[in-house]
Amino acid sequence: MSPSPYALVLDDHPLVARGVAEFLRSRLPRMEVAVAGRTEDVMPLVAERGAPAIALIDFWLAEGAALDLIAQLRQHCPGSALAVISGDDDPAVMERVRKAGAHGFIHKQAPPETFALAVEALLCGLAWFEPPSQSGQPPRSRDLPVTPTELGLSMRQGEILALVLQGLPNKRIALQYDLSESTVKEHMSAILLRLGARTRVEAITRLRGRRLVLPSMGEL
Amino acid sequence: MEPVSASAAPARAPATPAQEPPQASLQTVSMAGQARLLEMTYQRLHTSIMVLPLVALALTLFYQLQHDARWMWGWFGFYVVFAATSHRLRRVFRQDQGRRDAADLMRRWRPRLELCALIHGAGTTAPVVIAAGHASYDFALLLLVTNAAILAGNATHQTPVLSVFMRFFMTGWNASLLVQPWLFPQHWYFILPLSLLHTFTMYRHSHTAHRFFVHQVWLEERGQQLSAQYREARDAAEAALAEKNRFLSTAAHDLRQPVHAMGLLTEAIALRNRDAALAAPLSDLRLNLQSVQLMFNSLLDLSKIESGQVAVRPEPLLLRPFFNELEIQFLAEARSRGLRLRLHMPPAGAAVQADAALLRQSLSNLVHNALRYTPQGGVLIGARWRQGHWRIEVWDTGLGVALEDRARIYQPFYRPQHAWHINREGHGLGLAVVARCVDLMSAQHGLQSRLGAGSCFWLQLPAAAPGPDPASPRSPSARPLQGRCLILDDDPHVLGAWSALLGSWGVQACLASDARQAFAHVDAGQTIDVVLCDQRLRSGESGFDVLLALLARCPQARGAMVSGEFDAPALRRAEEEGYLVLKKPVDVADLHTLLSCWLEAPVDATIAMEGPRP
Repeated sequence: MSPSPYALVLDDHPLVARGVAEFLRSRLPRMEVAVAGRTEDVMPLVAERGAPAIALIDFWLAEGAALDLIAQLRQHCPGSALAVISGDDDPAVMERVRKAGAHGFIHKQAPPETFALAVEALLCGLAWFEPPSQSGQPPRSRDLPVTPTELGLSMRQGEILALVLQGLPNKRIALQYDLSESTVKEHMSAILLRLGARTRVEAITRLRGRRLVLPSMGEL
Repeated sequence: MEPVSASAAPARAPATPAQEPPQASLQTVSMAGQARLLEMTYQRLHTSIMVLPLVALALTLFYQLQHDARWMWGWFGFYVVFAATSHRLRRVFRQDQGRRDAADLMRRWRPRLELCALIHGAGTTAPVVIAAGHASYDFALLLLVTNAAILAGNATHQTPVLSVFMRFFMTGWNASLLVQPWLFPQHWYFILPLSLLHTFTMYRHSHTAHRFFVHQVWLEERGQQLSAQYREARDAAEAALAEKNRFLSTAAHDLRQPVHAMGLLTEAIALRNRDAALAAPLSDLRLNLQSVQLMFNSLLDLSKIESGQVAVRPEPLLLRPFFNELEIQFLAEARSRGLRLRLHMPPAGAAVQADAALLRQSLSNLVHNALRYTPQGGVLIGARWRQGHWRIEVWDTGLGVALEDRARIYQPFYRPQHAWHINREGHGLGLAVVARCVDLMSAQHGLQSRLGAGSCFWLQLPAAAPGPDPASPRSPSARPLQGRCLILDDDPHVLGAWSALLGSWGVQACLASDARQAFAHVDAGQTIDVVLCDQRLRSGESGFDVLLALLARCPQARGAMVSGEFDAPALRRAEEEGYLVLKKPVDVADLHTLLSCWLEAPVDATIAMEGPRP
């Protein structure tokens, strides 16, 4: 089904399309790049060459065209990374693209380095929805301290959460605090409920930018 | 005796008041103003007519004491009827005021009022005629004084439309003077000259009062006209500003497309270039493109800020992350310019109340500006505590700003003359954006400078206690991470991409497409800090089993599963046992958060809390 992997670029601005294609070719020497100038050209191309490894679609083709195309491609090429390129830094546009099922949103004003990184990340199977560097949120290191009490957790739950943040599985947490695995699991479901998370990964991402401080250890 | 000739052609009156001070003429004011003057006149005339039956009654009763008062009673009866008629007429006038335009009102009512005034005047003369020849001296004197008082009152208030008063004046007081010799048979040669003096005074007085009324209305209209002109000018200015902002953002948007393409093409050419001679011009081309893009961004930011599209969300923000970010952002640029970039870190808990995006933009523009106009030496960023505020200062050893330029450098596109000689990349927008951002946050900014020695640009923001911040998506480019990450993925294309992505965060990537290669890395003696393992491997092994085996070999490592499958039994088991499972597509920001929990380089030795290691 998949012959040689290729990247698909769709932009009605020929200069931009060629620029993106040329950039991809130089960055991903093993990958072929196909360029489409119109939305109608995309599906025949996919029928002929198979699903692309990544598709980069200009948002402002025609009103809603990009979102429709993404829905179509999601159906026909479930394995492809689908990203929208846009000069628009309106967060609402990014949200619409995310809702339509795209894996990424790349800003046209992003420097080439960031553009390349976004493509790499999308090829890794990651999602890329970075706010534009100029006016977006500042990056956060884990610098804002937070205590278990502030999160609505008991001391023991806080201790367990600290180990979860370290990526430890239940068995090793149980060993650490001399608990049974089932007790750890019970604590875990309480913690997840408190943080409003379904999984451990979600719990960790909820604490983005925060540093869990356990009073028992003092402010180390 | 007819100074106002407006009744012939009231419609010729100018619609708007003239610029020069008004003459004593109705034409100085607009039709609406004339109608107002007419109304004021009518009000006074009406009051005067309504009061007169009482005066007539008193005089008639007094007259009856000594004389046959039949004619006087008739006079009283006339005024009662006249007052009643005037009262009805006034109601019609009120209705007409609502129905007719000013010109029409003047045309219809000015003659009517003149007629009323004429009759009223004749009415006041009537008792003089009745009493002449047989009234007692006392009564005659009372009558004279009463008439003089009525005249004085009307001369003050009835004069907005002078022609109305003049009719009253002629048929009233002046006509009665003709009968005076018969009213005061013995003393008329004393009283008549005094009365004529009164006539002259009242004539002068009525003209002064008329001018005063007209001037008053003229001033009112002039005020309204000026405020309308001001509103127009303000609207025009606002429209022009909005138009300019629309133009700027449209132009910047449209131009951005080809510039974006040029950036990518240049990058592609630079990567493929094997010709050493082309390296320098290519690097110049890249710098120029960056400068153009920077200008577009500044223009867009400025137009967005000016058009009020920026929502300001103040929140408590720690200063240190911003300082770290500035260092990451500008260290390379400072080095390439041969400058030292030094940061004087604020205390760990230092926080300000500000909008994150605006603060970030302001600081970045200030540092950028400082680097650009500093030919040698360095730039220092620091924060100072000042009475409940943090003042963030950006010091440079650059050109300095001349006194006369200090106010103007915050205007868009303004650049001091000597700045132009040092650096031609700038567009004079950076500081304008800073000023607008700071205004939006209701904060303060300023600078101290010595020409040739350097400048200090500062922002002053209210201090805040860092509160809980809502977990929201953040950009995954904070502090650099350090460590080694082993990636197991069976797709060779993907492996290269992982390496680039992790490398950009400072994480070294070891790549393996199956368990054998993975263990080869471990066997080679490399310390693995993190293992990311895809569940589906082409070799047929279960990713989770491989992960468990790897973690058993490297107990200090942290591991997570990565998978596009949602319902694999192995993944359910992994979650059950408390292993982390990342579902594809993994949000880059989430991945960064996860890795930063494990691999973030501590800011200084005391800060990073590490959980107890088993």
